[in-house]
Amino acid sequence: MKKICYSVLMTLAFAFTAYAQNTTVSGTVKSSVDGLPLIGVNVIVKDTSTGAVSDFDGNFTITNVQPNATLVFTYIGFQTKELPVSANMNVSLDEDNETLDEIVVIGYGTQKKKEVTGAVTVLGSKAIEKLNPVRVEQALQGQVAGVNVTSGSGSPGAGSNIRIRGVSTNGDSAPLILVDGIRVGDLSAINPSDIKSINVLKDATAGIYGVQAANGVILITTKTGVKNTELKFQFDSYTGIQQTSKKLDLLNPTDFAIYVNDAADETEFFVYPQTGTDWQDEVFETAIISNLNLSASGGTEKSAYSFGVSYLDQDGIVGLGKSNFSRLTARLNYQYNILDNLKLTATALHTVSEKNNLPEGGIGAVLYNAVNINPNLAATDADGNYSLVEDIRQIEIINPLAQVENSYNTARVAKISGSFGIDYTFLDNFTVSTKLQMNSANVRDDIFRPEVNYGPSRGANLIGNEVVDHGADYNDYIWDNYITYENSFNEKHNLTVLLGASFSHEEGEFYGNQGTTSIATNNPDQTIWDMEIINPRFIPSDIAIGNNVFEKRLSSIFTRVQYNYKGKYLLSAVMRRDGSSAFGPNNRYGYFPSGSVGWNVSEENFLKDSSWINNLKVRASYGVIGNDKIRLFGYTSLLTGEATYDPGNATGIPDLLNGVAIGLIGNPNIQWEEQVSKNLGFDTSLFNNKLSISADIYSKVTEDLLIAPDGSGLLGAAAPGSALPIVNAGSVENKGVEFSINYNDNLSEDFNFNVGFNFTTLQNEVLSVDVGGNGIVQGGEFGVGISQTGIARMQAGLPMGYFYGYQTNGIYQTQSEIDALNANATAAEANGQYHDGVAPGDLKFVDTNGNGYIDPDDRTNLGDPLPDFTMGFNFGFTYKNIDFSANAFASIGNDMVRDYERKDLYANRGTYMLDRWQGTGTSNTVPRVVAGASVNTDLFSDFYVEDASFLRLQNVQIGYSFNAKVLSDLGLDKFRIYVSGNNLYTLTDYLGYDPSASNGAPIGSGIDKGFYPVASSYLLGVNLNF
Amino acid sequence: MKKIFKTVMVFSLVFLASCDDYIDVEPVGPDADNYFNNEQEYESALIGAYDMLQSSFWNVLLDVVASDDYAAGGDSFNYDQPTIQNVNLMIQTPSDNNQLRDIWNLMYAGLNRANYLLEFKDKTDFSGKEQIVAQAYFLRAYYAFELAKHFGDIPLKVETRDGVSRIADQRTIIGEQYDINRVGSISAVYSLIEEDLKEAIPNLPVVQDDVYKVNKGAAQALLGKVYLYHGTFVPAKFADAASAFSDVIGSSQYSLKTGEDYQNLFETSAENGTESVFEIQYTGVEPAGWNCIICSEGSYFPKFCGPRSPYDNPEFVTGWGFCLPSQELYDLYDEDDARRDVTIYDLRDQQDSYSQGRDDTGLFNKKYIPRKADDRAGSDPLNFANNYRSIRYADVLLMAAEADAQSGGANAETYLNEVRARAYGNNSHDYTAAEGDILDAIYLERRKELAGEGHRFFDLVRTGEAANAIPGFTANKNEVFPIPLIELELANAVERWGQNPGY
Repeated sequence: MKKICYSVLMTLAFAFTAYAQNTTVSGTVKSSVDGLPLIGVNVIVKDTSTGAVSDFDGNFTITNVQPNATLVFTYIGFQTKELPVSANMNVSLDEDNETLDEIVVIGYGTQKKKEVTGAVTVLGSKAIEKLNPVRVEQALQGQVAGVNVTSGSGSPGAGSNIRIRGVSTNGDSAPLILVDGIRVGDLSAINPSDIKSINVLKDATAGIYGVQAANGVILITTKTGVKNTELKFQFDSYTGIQQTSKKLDLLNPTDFAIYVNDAADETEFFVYPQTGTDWQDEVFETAIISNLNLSASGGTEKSAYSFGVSYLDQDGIVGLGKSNFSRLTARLNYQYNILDNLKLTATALHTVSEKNNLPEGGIGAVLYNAVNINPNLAATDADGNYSLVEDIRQIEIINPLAQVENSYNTARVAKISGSFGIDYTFLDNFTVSTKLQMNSANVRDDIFRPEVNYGPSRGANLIGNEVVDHGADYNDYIWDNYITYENSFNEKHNLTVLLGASFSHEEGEFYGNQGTTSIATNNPDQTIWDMEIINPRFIPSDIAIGNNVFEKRLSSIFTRVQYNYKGKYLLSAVMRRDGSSAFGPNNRYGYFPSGSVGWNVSEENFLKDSSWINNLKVRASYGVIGNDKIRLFGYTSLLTGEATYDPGNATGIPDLLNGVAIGLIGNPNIQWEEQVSKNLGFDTSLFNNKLSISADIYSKVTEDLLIAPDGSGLLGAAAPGSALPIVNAGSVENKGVEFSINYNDNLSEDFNFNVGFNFTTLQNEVLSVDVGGNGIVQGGEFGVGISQTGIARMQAGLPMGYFYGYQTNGIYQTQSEIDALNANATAAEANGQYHDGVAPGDLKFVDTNGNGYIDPDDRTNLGDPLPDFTMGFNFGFTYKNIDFSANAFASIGNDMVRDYERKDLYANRGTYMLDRWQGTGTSNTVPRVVAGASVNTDLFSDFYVEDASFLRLQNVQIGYSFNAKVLSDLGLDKFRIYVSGNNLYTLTDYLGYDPSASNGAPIGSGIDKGFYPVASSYLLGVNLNF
Repeated sequence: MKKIFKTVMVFSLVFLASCDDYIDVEPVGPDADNYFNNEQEYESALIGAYDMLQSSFWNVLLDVVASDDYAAGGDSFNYDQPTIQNVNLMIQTPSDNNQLRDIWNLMYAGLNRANYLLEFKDKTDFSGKEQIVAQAYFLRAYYAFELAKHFGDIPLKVETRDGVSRIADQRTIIGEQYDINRVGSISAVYSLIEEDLKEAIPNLPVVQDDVYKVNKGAAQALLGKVYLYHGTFVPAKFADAASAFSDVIGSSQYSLKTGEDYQNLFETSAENGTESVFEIQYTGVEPAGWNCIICSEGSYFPKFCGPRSPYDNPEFVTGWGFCLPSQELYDLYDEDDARRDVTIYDLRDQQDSYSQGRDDTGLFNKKYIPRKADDRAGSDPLNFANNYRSIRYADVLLMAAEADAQSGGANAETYLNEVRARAYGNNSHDYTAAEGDILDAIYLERRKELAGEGHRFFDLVRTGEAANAIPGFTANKNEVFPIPLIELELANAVERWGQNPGY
């Protein structure tokens, strides 16, 4: 059956017919800006290889042209123009300033920006160049309204979280990203300078991707060549230094000693130290980053090509050589017209990256240790060995320098992506396309853990050596087949109809070994085969239940009808039907309709001749789209539970008895999450296109959210390997306004500038959580040791992932104050106390439920990690040969939990602890310190929640381009040098490393366990075209 | 020509819609409702039911600490493991989750795994199935008894089979948690458990082919124990208990270890010996990780009981300094009582050798101390190999003595003296009337014989002595633990079940 469908498609794809006829045309091409003739313009008869190049006076002549043919005029730096053949053609080309005739990629096709009816933002290669990002995601932050990019780490090669218009699910909120149609999960494989454009589909326009569209869709196209152009090379390179953007203000050795003595309360005394170690200074270093990029492009009469290679090498600002990311990419993009009406496109991308990393982001991280370790400890002992941490109260804290020395973690990724497509045009108006897009990736993790002693009882101590050698292979493809019908009737009615089908397949396999040896040889070159004991990553019982593999398939058909009347009234309707192997048998197929309308008001007679309105379009969209990121086979109860027992005489793992038990309990009704997306917006450009404004108001309500609820123990899901069924049981709304304004002008011939500003408001509210019980889904953890779980929650009426804890109202100053509260306590708690366990100097919790005493039900909403408001600022100018650009991003109203401190005796604290309560009236904000249990450290309260609003100067770049005249003598087209700085300054009150960091989890993000800060970098670069 | 082409085009696109079998991806492993097709599959599901026994180390830890003879211990600078501390002080509340919720959740999970097999017990026939089913009934009884001991009148799905009220042979499926009610009384829960064991006993062999498997003696001993607990509410059950224990004793399969064998009774090398009636098997051959403590094939309990770092000893591993024996317990033993040094590890003269934590007495729970001999794989101390001696023959003898004394049987003194003789190596300490009521003598003997094994707290409760013995114990409240509030909420049962009395 499957084979039949494929063969029919293949037949379709390769069937073809052909036509031909005769006449001669000639004319002149000029620039619309200055009226001067343009030399070397490519003039091609559309859909043929026939054409000519304009001469010194801008003249051209083409013979053998059909009378009803269309000529296509292309010239670098100018907009491509298509005109019907006429007798004596006087053509003027407009300069390409990325405006209205810009092509927008909308999925299975493109559209002129003027005709777009959805909320789509395009970021072109020029904008990306200005930002000079190391990673693609960095180009989106602050540039595209509605897009928020956070990173879980600033370490080299670390990924980012992209959120389009808020967090629309408690599950995976990552958008669908397609690079040349190829599904991409990790954008680190892409070299930013290979990108031609990034198109962000934010509203129901994304509906053409149906069940994958609810988190938004990002379509990235890579650079292509242009036909009939000579071979051109482009060389870009930069190198520079990176430094940490922040160091925390921690107690110095003396203040720390006073603090400990204060806390220990005369039970232990600490000698005031003379020296100590600034551990942050020890672990942070200035690191090098450099990038090389060489690309070439060109085209012949029938083909166009572009290829490039790049190499990035980035050292980490933490890690003294153990932290590094390198990436080598090679890219090819090729187009060939086999026949006039048969086009072939092929792309290939090969990426090899290697990442050496250190433990980061929480307990056990190098930075966590550097922040929390006793500042009195010398980095090395008298013998020059790294000092051991002797205090046994925090067994997880170790000397970060020793940790770096003993860490050997390397992750290697080799990835090949390729696409192959054929477009065949027939009967004038039909184009049938088939595109096969593939990915193949191999990921290897090599870890060596040598025998090490970090001090008594350290959890990280190791007896003997361990080697971990894990691998994973991922393969996926998407095969799209579609037919497009495009026609105009009476020059008024323009119709485009798309009908297509798509098959998507993803699979992966995990494998590897883990080995140990009791022989302490401590040799970082040891491999798994040097180990005495080698255990496979998956034992046979794991493999029997499929823990080592996954497979997911999606089968879709879709149609889109676009109609406009004279380019004035625009209409688009989409319907997609998706079937997924992940959905339950009762809900295998979903139908996702969406529609949008637009009105180019400026085309109406009453505005057509307006002296100041160049363009005005209002548009609206509505659609139902889905999110299919659900657990595979969640519809059935598989026997994936842990069921291993000791027969009573096991001497090795093979002796263990492996049985079966229920794993995730199935839910046959499981289905996609469904989102209703609404958008109303307008785009306008005014005053000779100098000022452009776009604004949107949006609302997205996601229903049937997939929730893995906490459930009654009676269901037995607490067993190892088991879990409660995932149910569709909640809804969340994101709504807000996006606004962007850009102005560019020439103040003189030598000076032009642009300034842009955009902002997005976001209001997130969980509408319902229907999981029984208390209707709350919990996540997030606070503290170490005696940790508190569930400090972030999803609950109806509140933002997704809001922080849940005790509200405070100052500090208890006197015992009599506490006694008075106890005396008035209306209902007695277990110990008859108003607030059990407090003493003067402790945080005063608020009795929010008014029951007369402090109990766990007094915990309440303490804020949420979602910004209320984000803004981007862009400014740039060119004056003669100098160009300047700067951009900044601001996020307002995002809260963060300060949880990178161990908050225990002998662990260091921030200098804010200098303001601690030390007697009546000394402080009403920072509580006293005690050695043992305390409401101040053990319970999550708003004392630990900070406003992490920030304004960050993301990039400043100054360039100088050498004069064209000088260059042409050298055979160069462009020679520019620049200096640029990234993340130069962050304005924030937040005490932690990075207010912009997030782990990306919908429930539990914004809990700062010590995020690796983004680096500030200072680069020197060169761009060379020849 | 064109027309034909168009027609083919349209048809073929429509045809695509029927390519739906493209998305039929079969899961790799077996699914739960399509299992039990042969003997092997029954055996496999049974192993799943056994596996949950290993998670009961939380029960033992909490039960040891709940008694009067052991303090919580832990880090002196923190309220280390609040639920354990609260239980030690008998101030536990419904907000105490952690170990109390673990016991609730994990024992119900074990019950459900046994029920998964029992739900399909009639699906496929083969010889020897009765024995597999019998083991599943024993395991269900074991889990239910653990729940009843801790939480009293627990909620259970109940059905009537052959005119007898039974625990339903079905998993609890989603939605049922909102309908299942408390059985009605602790006594009624014990009756349900007794029925499971009575069904299991006839089909279990006296000797099993594998040491880990439940045999007839284990089921009889557990039945006797349940009857004994039941006797607190229905005195007639003491006679049933006596009868069950006499079956175990009469089987001649078990004996008390003496001399050096007794000294080593709690060593890993002495596992599954003739004194063991039922043991929970642990091994350290497989590494375990913090991300899933209960996935361990070993026990985490011993790690809690070790002296805190930097204690260094060729025999023992450092631990977290929990479950600390009291000086009073130490003093209870006579100088010539071999049990003292088996029960207590005495570091009173070496208190500098380790970091003294909360409640430090210099004494440690030697029966379940982390031993270097329990060689573990991996770096996390979660998989000590020391088996938990769930039912020892000494326990059986003392329970038998108690049941006989309660029901007017003749052998109470004999059984008691057998245990004492082993402890002292001779009969010089045999019971005499001068000691007073023989029941009191048996209770005292249990305290000494079974210290540190998690029985003392329940013995005090069922004999009505808890309020006198345990500081902070509130009568008519602390006999059972509170059901974690979250569990009442998740089952919509705050009203329906109500909290346990007094909480």
